[in-house]
Amino acid sequence: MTDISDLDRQIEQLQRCEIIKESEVKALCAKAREILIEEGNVQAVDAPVTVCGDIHGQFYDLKELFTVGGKVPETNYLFMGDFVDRGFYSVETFLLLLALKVRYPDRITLIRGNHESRQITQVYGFYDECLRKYGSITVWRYCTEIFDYLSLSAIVDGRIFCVHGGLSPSITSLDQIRQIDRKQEVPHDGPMCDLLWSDPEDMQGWGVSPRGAGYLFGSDVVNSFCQENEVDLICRAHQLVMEGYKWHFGEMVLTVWSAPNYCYRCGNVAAILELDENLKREFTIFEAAPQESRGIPSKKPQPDYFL
Amino acid sequence: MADTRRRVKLYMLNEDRQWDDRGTGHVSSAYVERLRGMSLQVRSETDGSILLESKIQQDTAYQKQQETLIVWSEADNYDLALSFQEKAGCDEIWEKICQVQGKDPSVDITQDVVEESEDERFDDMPDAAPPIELPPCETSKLEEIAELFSSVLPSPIRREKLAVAIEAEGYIRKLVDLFHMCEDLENIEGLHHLYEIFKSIFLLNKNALFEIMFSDDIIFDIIGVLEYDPSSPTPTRHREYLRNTAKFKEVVPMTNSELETKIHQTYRVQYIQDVILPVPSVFEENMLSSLSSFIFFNKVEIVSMIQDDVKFLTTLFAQLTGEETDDNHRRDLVLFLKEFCTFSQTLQQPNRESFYKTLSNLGILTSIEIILGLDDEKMKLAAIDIFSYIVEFSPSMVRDFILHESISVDDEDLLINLVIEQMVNDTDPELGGAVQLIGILRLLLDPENMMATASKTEKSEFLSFFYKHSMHVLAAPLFVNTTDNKPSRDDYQTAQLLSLILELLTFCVEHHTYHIKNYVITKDVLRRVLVLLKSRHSFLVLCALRFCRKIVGLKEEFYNRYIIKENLFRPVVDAFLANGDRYNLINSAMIELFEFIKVEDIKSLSIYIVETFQKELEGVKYVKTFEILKVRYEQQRDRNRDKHTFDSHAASVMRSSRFRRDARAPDDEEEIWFSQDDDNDDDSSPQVSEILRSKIDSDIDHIHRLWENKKAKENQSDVGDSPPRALSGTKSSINISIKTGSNSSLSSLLSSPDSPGSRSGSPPVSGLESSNSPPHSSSRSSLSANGNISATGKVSNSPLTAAGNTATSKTAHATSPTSNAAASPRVAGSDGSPSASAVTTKTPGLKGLVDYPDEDSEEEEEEEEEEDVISPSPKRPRVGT
Repeated sequence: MTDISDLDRQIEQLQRCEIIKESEVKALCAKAREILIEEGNVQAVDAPVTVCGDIHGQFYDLKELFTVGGKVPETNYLFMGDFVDRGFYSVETFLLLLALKVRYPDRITLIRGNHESRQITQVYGFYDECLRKYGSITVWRYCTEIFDYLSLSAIVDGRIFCVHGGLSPSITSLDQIRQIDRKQEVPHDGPMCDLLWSDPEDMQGWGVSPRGAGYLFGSDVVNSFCQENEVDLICRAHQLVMEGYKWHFGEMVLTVWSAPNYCYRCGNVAAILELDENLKREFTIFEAAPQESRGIPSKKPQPDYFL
Repeated sequence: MADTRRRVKLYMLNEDRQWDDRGTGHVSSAYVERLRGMSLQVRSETDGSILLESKIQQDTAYQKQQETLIVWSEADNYDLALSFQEKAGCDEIWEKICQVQGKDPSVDITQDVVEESEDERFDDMPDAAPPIELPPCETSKLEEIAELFSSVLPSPIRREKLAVAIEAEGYIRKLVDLFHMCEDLENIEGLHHLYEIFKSIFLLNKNALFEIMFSDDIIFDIIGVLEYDPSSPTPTRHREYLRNTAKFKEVVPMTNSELETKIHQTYRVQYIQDVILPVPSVFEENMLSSLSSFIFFNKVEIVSMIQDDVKFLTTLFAQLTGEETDDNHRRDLVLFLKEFCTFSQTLQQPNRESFYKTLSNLGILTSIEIILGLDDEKMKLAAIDIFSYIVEFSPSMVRDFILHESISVDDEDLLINLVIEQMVNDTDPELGGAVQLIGILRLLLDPENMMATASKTEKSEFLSFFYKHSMHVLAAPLFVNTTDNKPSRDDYQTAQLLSLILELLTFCVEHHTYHIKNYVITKDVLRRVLVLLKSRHSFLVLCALRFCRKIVGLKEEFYNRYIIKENLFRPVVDAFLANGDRYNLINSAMIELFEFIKVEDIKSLSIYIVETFQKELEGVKYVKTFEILKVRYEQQRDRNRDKHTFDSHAASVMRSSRFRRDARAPDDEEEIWFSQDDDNDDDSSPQVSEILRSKIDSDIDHIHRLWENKKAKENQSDVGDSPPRALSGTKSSINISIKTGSNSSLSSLLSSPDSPGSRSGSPPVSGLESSNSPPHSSSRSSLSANGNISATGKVSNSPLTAAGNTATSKTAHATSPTSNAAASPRVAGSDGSPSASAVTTKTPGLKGLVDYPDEDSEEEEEEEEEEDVISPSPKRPRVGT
């Protein structure tokens, strides 16, 4: 009981964009680990559910997302990765999502994006942010450890396959994803890497990705994948689309992007995909949170000093 | 005319690229018949003459700068500027211009400028901007001053000018006087203006101004000003905190008053940076970069001043380890030392080296040892932080110390064993300390950062030492908990600890060849580890499984035979089946293990699995792994029908009791081939087959002797230490007589790619360990710990490498202002201003306007391809498997 009230307090605190204590992060991660470890590499999710794309540490925009999409646990959510990096509040963003996951495990699903990686976060901001906000990289260590446990993909009612990046030439069936021991840093090649890095492209077959990881995959690849696995739609994130969402290959692949005004300057709108119990699709578009709602994080000083 | 709103100064760029003042007057916009269009007109205030009449062309790029300046070019090299007295007037005219051109007035430039070269910009002409005249420093002018200062911020050149003016006129001290006045009179409005004024001064980012503001006599006044943040309803009592709550502890009297002043100043400035003016975003980081470097250089000075004070440090260490020292005082001394080490992170490499050398000569490691032996958690934690700094800086120095002390010190008092004890006994329920300690141990045990010289190798020396004196201490919790067929203690904390130990052991399997092999076999480690598959903590189950997977991943027949002989997949299969149909991480990790054996076609294990577990695994149909393993097994059996089958042969090798001990090759030769995996292959020797054969022989013999040895030990205590070296005490030779029908199958077994004999072609000749280790690579160690994506991409190369290095130690990061600056320009322009506007301007549709510095536009492009380019890898995955 105290656990839940503790957790609720932490959620409240995080919702105010205030970080929680290092020890609380550790405990939160331990609980999250228990839950995530039991999830499959293709996590089964039931509709209705709202599917979201990249967030990238844009905390106030995530709050905006919850405002337009509905709160947890009233609305079920599936976040397709890239919670951290680039924005100013990766710590608060990821911890809030993780706390919600621990509090309402069946209501919110988090799958891994290519930014949920030690390597990438050291370059694109999350590492520095942890260091700045906590004064050490311990919290970064805890979080990246949890990244390794995040599921790789999800399937909604057996019909909509959701993944951060896209398909992999090493994977023709969903069962092949099952064979991946995902508890590791995102490798730089192989099926696990591809799922998190690939992009759809107007072409046939497979192409070399300009990103240096993953592949470009064409419509024929998508066709056969969907047929083999009896999937109607592949839903993914990973690429900025100015309109918030974008269809590829007719309506076979969908990109959803949920970071409005990406990097606080791209000028794009964001979208979330709401699937009702019959998998009917509805998009909600939203814009960046107003400037005034942004607070400034502060740090507690140490009273005794020797130097 | 009292109207100052439209009062402007007209500037024109002359041939020398200087801005000439062309007079002051009033500007208007009106339709001018002669020019057939809306025009700007400036009429002189002195004689009423027309100073400017210029038609607003559709395609001219007008630029608004710093809120009161409009700049444009007419024809080639005919650059004009209007400098407004008031922002409002500037905005009005700006709106007119935008209206004519059909633009949204929220832009700062009306046309996209095509590749305008840097030097043509108004901003970049150092002497172009008019000097800034400071209003008289009076209470009534505070608002005006505040507005002026904030209006200057977006332009680097104007910032420069303002800073010069402030310094030249001693303006800061005048403002401080005003502050006293306002505070006495409780003039809140004035205080709020002062806050804004000083915030702007901070953002001017000028070291010279910081020197003034942070001087001992007025720093508290500056902090006082910053208490009156207009956005907070009540002032924050920073001065009170600094005066009453914050306490400076002088652990050893300082004779140098300059040093003491510097220490106070640094603490207060740090407080300003962390608490009063926290940087909310990376974009603004550069705005206060001089503040960071101010602190940085202060720290460098403090460290060197103390380091030079021999008497101070000698006294400190004497008290630290002195028996009569009071514990409270000792605690403070340790905390001081920790802060001292933290500060030292600002030093450059050579200076840091001498810093740690100084500490080392003063006996820092001995002191840490003593403190870890005391019963004071707080002190211990600080000591470990210090220890961690030292290990991160120079693991070799620490290893050297450990090796030397082992001559005179009992095992349980060895520094490394104290550290392990501390880890095992961590009282924190989340084991925060243990996590840190395991990281330290890993650094110490990482062959990649071990030095190698011609005469001796640190690797063999230290690892031999560690496996003899410390490994049993580290592994003790594992052995204690796995005496039965299920973990004897399975509480969360124990599970946490065991998972940490397993991670380190897994690291050892990967990086230590010879020693860990011996250890695993003699101590039957894998069996013990696999007992943990019965833990109720899934993360521990996974750790145990990964340990096993790492061993299998080495594809060494040596290990495989051990697994088969001891039937070690029994617990694995049990755990797999116990997990049932649940599709979770354990399920996937299990299948991955079997998949690996299948894909890599590890024959011995495949046969073992099919023959032993076929019935039980038959039911697993959701993946084809087991079916394929079985089919392959049957095909193999059919093929071998005429010959002796592979498995019976393997079994004969395995179970044969015909080996006899006898004199044979000396021990170090054995060690050489054990540890040769990472040695150079080039050194090919002529008698490959000869040596290969002897290696195979020794292999078989070795296994045999290990088993003998193991059996002998089996009845002994579990935790008891048996040094691996003891094994090789007897010299023996081998006399193989295996009864097989065909030699070919034997040789095929032994020379198959999986067999250890053929791993690297030819054995090393002597002392080869050295050739492979990097000469000096303290930073490489943690790179490998952080994954293995090598940076080759053009864009990502440096950041990745740099990031890898930062990850090495939590402190390496941001230690030097230069490295800081180098890391950020991709995000924010080095001049700060345009990117700041990029952050605050949230109007949609701005993308693509020349609103950002060049770095930004570059980054926009990068973003497309980037979304974080990691290095392209030469190897593509197997397509279509």
